[in-house]
Amino acid sequence: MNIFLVIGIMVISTFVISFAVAGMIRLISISINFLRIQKTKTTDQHESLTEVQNEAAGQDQQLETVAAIGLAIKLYLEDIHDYERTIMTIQKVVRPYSPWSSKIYGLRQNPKGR
Amino acid sequence: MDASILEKLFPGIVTLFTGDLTISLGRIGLMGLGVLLVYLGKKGILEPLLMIPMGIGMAAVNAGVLVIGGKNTNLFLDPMISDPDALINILQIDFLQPIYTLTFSNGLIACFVFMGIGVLLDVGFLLARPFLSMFLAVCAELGTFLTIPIAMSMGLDINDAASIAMVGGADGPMVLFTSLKLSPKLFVAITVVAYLYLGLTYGGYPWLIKLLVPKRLRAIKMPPKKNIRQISSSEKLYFAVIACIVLCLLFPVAAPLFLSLFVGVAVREAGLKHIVDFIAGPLLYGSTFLLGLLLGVLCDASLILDPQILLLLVLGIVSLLLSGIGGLMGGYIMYFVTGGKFNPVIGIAGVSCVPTTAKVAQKSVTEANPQSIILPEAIGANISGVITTAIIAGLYITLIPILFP
Repeated sequence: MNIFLVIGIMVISTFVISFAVAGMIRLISISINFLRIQKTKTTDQHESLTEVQNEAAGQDQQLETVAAIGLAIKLYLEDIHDYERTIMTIQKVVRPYSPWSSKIYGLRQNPKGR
Repeated sequence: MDASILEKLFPGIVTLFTGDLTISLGRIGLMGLGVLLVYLGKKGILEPLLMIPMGIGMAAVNAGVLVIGGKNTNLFLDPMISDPDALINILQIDFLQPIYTLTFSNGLIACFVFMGIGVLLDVGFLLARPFLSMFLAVCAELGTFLTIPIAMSMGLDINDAASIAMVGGADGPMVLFTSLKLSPKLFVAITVVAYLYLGLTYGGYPWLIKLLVPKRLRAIKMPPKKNIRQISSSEKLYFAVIACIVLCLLFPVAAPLFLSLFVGVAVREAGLKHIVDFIAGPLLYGSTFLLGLLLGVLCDASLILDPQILLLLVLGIVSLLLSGIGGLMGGYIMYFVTGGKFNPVIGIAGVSCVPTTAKVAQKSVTEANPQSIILPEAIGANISGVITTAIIAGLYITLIPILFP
């Protein structure tokens, strides 16, 4: 059999199987997502109605609050007159947990003095 | 002083002058290369985690030659041993032989590395773009296909050609399995060559990227993905379990790798902190260190310059090179399809050397534009590369004996 024909068959087969696997991964992802949404829907169904009612009632009050916060931020920013560095450096010290040196796991506890 | 006394006192030096000239020059060259790898690792030009143990191992194995039973050998390991009686003897003599035989040639060390990768991996990347990742991964298998006719034109039969072509998939255990099924007589030689790919991908691919992708394209910043949904850890855990079962069912050839990868993901998503710390720390770094050391020790001049190994080494390098070019071609196709919004360097991550090629791709892009982050897309393509290599291994093992009885 011609080797190039064989390689052609292999390439096409690889493409077909690979995309089938990609489809499967997508399907798993969609299924998990669907199940999650269904679960969220059932648990939230009871609470959603009261939430909507509360939201409608408090909307005007919320808008006023947003306006007040916006005004406060504007006034605050206008007050800042000089340029400040916004780069923050955090030096993180990592101390990984290790039971090796822990005294509580030692075979010999500290002797009690009399 | 008598020459034989000198030979007994300083066999490493005497064998440099008394042995085959090609081997002696090869030893000196590989010692120099080992030192160079350590230097480049220290400078950060090559991956230090792998290159420093590999470089020192390479230099040491070519320096520490001694004569036992009239034959030049060393006390590190003998990768070509296949007779069980001889293996038992060697296991008691060569100090790295137990690690090579019990963890390297059966792929256990690769599985440990995969567990470590699983622990560090966010499967959200794979869930996000399966089709794009698969397309890039198939493109990056160019060497796996094209090396077959090249190897056949160099005198290998179809089974040996297919086994060595699998090196283009850059997945050691997969090459190991294919050669075990298709060409058992070249099994050891192909395994040695297959595991040497790591050094090539770390050292060679950045140059290939620079050669084929201009800086302007390397600097492309990927547009942020719209409607990113937060995926919960339990969702990722379910995905890992289901995907592991399904992929093992579909591709038993790669089942150890899939199990290792997804057990890492499962442990991470289940929040088992102490096990995560163990796998991501001592297991991953210990395996990487031993892998580097063994790769260096395998670069023995008498082994590398063996005509059979040399031919396989050349074909392995050709295969990997073609796969790298294929991956970048896939990246270019996506670049044109998306109207210039896709960084073509991501394509090289389709070569399934997890996570090396993804890291190499990100490093090359960062050099051109520190603001550009392509790692999520690259990791997706990388994981897909493992799957496509498993698919091709399955196809070769199944179809070649049928098409060429």
